[in-house]
Amino acid sequence: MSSLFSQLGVNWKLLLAQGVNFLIILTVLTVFVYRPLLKIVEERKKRIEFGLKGAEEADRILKEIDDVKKEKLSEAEKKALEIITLSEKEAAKKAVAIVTVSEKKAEGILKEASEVAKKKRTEELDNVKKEAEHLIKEALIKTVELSPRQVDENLIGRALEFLGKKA
Amino acid sequence: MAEISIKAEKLFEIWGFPVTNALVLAVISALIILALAFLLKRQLRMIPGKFQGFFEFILDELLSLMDSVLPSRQISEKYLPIIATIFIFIMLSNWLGLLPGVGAINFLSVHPAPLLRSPASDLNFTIALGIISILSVNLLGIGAIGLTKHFSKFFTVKSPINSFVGILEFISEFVKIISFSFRLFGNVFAGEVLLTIVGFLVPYFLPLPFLALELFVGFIQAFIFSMLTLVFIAMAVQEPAH
Repeated sequence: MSSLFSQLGVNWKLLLAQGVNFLIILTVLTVFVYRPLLKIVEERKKRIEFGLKGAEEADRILKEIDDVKKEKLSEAEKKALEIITLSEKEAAKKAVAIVTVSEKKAEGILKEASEVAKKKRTEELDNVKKEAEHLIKEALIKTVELSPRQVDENLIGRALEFLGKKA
Repeated sequence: MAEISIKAEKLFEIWGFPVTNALVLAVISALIILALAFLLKRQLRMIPGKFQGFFEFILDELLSLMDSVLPSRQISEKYLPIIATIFIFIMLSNWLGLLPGVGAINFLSVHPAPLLRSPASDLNFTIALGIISILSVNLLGIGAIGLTKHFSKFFTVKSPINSFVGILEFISEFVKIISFSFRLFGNVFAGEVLLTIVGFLVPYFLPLPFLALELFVGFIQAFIFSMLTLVFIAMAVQEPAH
């Protein structure tokens, strides 16, 4: 057996040396390459998964925000339409009210104006009456100031004159 | 024509320790791998460069291959070091053995011999790897299912047939070492002989296709060695069937 090993060049020292050589490589590669590399790959995988999940979450949130935005916009449109309709109705009501009030005011003004005119006329009439009274009074005073005999004579004269003409 | 020797040539001795040309190239392969490992360690980043990307690609391919044999990615990652190291070390050694100058440059001593020789064309290299492979298979098996359960695969008294099969399995563990080592040794050594003969007969152009073939053989042998180890590990870490 040892002759066969010798013929094939098998030597326990060389066997040991080759084995140790391999074990050194195995140890160094395990410590410096496989473990750190697998750790990094795992870490990267986790980060990518986290990133993808984050992106999905962000997409979902964006979609939700978009939906909420659309909902709010449609709500706002509805509200705006309601407000406009309400405002138009109120405006119409107010217009009617304003017209009614204006008409009433106009009527009032007209009434006032006619009353003022009436009053003025009455005042003018009163003034005319007062003036007439005054004139009559003046005329009576002047008449009274004349001597009754002269007046009578005058009156008799006029009467006679009238009668003469008639005759 | 160059002399073809089945055993690696001894170059010199250090305190009674024989240094062969195959051992020198094995050490050079180891140093290259260690240098690359340190370089890679320094350059490890979360966003990989080309160098790191290349290693990640190799490891990922190996892990995918292991996933097809082992039940989960975590278990694949657990056994990755032994499988990947066997593959990388054997393949690099085989390819370095094909470089110009290997086998051609002589070490001048009392008996002139090539300075370098493909490590796998020396039985010491292949037997050492075979022993390590089978030892790891059994140790990982013990680690996974326990000492008693693991050895119950070999030594059982349930029935005479099982006992006999168990003993055959136990013997086959040693046979596996021989099969591992002689397969790799035979292929690489035959490749070396083939290249030497073709190079001697037709020195120009004709060796090129054979060199390409040997590149492929170098890869395939490393792949077979590591895949067989993987399959043996997968079998060893399973609970024995009752």
